[in-house]
Amino acid sequence: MKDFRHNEEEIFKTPEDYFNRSAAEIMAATVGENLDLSASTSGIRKQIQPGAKVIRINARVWIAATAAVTVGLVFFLAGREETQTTQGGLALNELNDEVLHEVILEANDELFAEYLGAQLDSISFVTEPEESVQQQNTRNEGKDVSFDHVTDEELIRYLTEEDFDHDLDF
Amino acid sequence: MIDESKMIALLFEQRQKEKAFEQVLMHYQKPVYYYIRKFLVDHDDTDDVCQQVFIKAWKGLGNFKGESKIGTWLYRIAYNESMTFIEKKKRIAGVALDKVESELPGVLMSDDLFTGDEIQAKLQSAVAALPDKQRAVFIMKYFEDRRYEDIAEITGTSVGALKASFHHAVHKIELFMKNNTTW
Repeated sequence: MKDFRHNEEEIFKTPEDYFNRSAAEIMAATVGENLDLSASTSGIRKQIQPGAKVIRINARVWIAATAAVTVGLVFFLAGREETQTTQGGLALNELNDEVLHEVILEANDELFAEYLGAQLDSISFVTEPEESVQQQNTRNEGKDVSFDHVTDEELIRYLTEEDFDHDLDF
Repeated sequence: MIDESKMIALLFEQRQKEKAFEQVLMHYQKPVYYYIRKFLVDHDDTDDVCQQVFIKAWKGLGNFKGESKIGTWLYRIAYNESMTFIEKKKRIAGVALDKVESELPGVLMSDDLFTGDEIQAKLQSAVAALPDKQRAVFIMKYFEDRRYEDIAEITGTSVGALKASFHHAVHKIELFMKNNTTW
């Protein structure tokens, strides 16, 4: 059987002497070593000049310029994302198989408790039309509508069996 | 082979850290480059991201506590940088989320620096067409033969989620290899 795992250098070629040149450029950009970069052609290489001081000055100018653009871009993207989420209710592109499986596999007790908490919260938020005390007494007469007798365990079992499994049935 | 604990100790020494960093760079430059290359396919993209990884590592030396291996730390930066690069590319291009992935096989086949034979090209195309996270997991598990625990540390994902992602990736690659098509 053919093994594809250990031939990366054979199939992904690099320009001649790439690693030596790249290492020199990285060292120049980090520890500021003054290395010969005459062969430099692209990427961060364009920003790097021989000599640490020059590099640092360039870096500051570069950072200041890009920071302004980045801040603007962040606000723009944040606004756009919020609009999309508001319109769609949920970012549909997040609902792929992978995410869903991650949700299931990472659904530990804490997440489960959080889910149940949300369910319980939603129950408490169910609003009924207001009725007078007299109407309530009439309606409740002879009936036990209190949930006091329902234990937490029963409620959790109910939610687990009736809702949770169905909602997350993949 | 570098002495991991000795190297970490030197990285924390003010007077030795530049020399130590150079040795780390020499030792990890190639593996990190090929790790990123398998992600991004294109050499120029890989070159830029790879350099960023080591620059960030240098700048972030103060945050490195030496609790994980140097390699794991570098791969974690490389993974994050690669993902950030892909996301940026998607945003700048204003394309749909899966568009960049679907273009990668085409990039691969038109890359003068790719010299694989037909079956290798097909496998790499299949890998390139996977969604980002699945591609990352598949590369680390299959090509680099890493343990799930190590991959979890690099990606910040649970082992269970990684296994699920790997399972999906393998299934999609099987389909791709059989049908020679995208999904």
